[in-house]
Amino acid sequence: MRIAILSDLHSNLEALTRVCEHAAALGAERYVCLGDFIGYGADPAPVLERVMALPGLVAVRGNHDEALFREMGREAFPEIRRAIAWTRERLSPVQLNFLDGLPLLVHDGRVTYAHASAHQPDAWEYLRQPDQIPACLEAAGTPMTFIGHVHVPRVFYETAAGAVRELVPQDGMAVPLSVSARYVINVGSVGQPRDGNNAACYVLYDNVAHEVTFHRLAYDYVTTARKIRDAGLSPFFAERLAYGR
Amino acid sequence: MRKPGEDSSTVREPVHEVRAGERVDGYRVGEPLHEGGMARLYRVSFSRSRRPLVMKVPKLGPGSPLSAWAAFENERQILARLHGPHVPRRVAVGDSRHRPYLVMEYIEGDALARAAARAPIAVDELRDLGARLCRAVHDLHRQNVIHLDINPANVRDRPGGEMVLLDFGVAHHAALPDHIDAAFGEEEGTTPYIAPEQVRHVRTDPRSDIYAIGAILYHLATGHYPHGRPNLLSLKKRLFEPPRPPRLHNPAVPAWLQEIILRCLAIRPERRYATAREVAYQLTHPETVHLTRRAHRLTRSGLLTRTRLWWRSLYEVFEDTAPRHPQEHLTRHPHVLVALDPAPADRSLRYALRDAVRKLARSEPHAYFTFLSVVKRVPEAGEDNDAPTANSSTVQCLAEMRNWAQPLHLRPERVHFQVIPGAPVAALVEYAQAHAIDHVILGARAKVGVDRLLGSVSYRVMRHVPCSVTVVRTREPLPAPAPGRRRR
Repeated sequence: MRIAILSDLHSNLEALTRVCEHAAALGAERYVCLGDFIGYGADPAPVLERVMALPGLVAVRGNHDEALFREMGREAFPEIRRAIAWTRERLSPVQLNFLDGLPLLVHDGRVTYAHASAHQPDAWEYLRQPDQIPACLEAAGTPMTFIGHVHVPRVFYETAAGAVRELVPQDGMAVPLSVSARYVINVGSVGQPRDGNNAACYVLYDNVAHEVTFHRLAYDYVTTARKIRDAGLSPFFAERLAYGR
Repeated sequence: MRKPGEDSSTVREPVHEVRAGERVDGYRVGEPLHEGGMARLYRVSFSRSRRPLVMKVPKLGPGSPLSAWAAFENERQILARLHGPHVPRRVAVGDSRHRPYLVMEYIEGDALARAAARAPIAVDELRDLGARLCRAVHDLHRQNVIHLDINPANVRDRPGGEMVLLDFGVAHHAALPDHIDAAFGEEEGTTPYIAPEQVRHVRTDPRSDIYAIGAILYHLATGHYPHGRPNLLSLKKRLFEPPRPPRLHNPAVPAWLQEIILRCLAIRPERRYATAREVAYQLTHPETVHLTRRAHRLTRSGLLTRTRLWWRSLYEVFEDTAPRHPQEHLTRHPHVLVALDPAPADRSLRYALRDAVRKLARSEPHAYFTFLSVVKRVPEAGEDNDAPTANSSTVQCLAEMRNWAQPLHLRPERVHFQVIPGAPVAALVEYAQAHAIDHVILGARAKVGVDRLLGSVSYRVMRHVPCSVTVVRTREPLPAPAPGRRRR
């Protein structure tokens, strides 16, 4: 079965639409969303409407989603706080309920889903380096963990001797997964990629062939950016979409 | 053949041995061919095909190295992504849980191994074998794979002459997770051919394969290994000691060959040739090799040098300065062919052409250039004494090309000059194909006479070469100088 794994949508309707069309055309039967549905973008309600209708949806909570209900840490930028407050007014009670009820972690057989890390998932640590990976692997207890949060697609894997290495995945090329190894896979970001490539990113996981494929899709970020500016949100949120930073 | 679903519920010990006469999934196992540290090779046949095949079975179970499984999986995954004449064709793969094996085509030729066994060999034979090996390695790098264990035993050849690289057990594919652990304790590669950075466990530099090519050439030219007999000391020595000059072992080694070999064997990867294709080019065109001091050296490097290098090796870091993908590495080191008209009719076009080369040289700082003139024909010896002899006209042509290129101020190892005889279009196209040229730059002359009917040279070249072509044009030619006028 093919599972489409999406993360960090950030209220970007254009990117989400493009990704969903692409995944459906490739035969995705189930969808997993790894949190941060809202924040930054200007389409929170339409995005959630679309997400909640996805077949077989599995979802976990991200730090932006949590900020709707709890005060963010002191390090959060005022612009981000303002976007959260702006978003809160535009969501229906059903949508707010959906977000409030999301778990931090989901274990599904051989796979764990988390937003930032399986280790202390509510600490929102950014897993950027291989030396941060073992803690996540141990806490997950499954051979595979899918994460988001960093907005940079990566495959971290553990060799038989216990060393953790990373692979920069290429667009559209299947990465075979070994049965005996352990993986932490960052699926990148749908709504706000930050690896220098402005195309939306998501992962198709084939659990029969046991491989993951990263897909990069160009979408109409000009419209997304215009909506952000029109909504009076920080112009930087609009600008960074073009650079993929 | 195994039916799908069969045996899937029962867990069996993986088969790690097959015997002659046994049938495995329809393959009749024949004589054992080779036993390495990680796997055994058997000749096999298949009832419906007469092609000679080999089966590779990993050594599993008690007493076999832990890494045998990783090496087998690695080879299986990489081979599935490789194609072309320079790798063995994959025929079948056994179920990796129950019957791990790999069936590949059997490649008969072992010219390189036989040559290595009787080294030192003649220079012409070495050039031919070396250039063919380089082409195979270049093709591998183009497909994003670094072999990391090139040695004569892993290189076979087809009846057509193409070299085939075998054994991808420790190879690295830039787009796949790399499960090969240097930390297992066994050394990667085969001792005399391991690059210094491999000793330090760097697995992502395609220039490690260039080092192996250098070590093979060294051995073919001298009958010795670059760092003496393979042992732990020879392994460490390559980090701080340049190999003895090949001419010390064999005075018959020409200076240009010594230059090529020692450049391949440089300690730092960035001091080596960037691509195997460049080595192939130099081996086929020895006259274009830029000779440095090391080409003529006949003595071992001095004590001072060795001490300095040893000191440096203590804190030598081989970071992954090379781009992540070998393919990307190759695109940053393009081989550019610049076609120069031996009898330029139009000065402004020559200037424009030089300007185009200058721009490319600036934007591609690692590009290297071949300036090529095609002359109509070479007169036979003794033919027509009045006509300039082939030799003197070629020399003059080379001199003019050098003079033309001089304002570009390109480093000598970045430029090669060549004059070849033939018909302009056919010769250019053939040259570009034979040397896997990445980019052709040539000028478009104003159409005259026959060109108007057949299409210009530039147009016909553009149609036939398998790479990008830049055609340089000028808006209008400068008026030609008229030397006769003043006299009147």
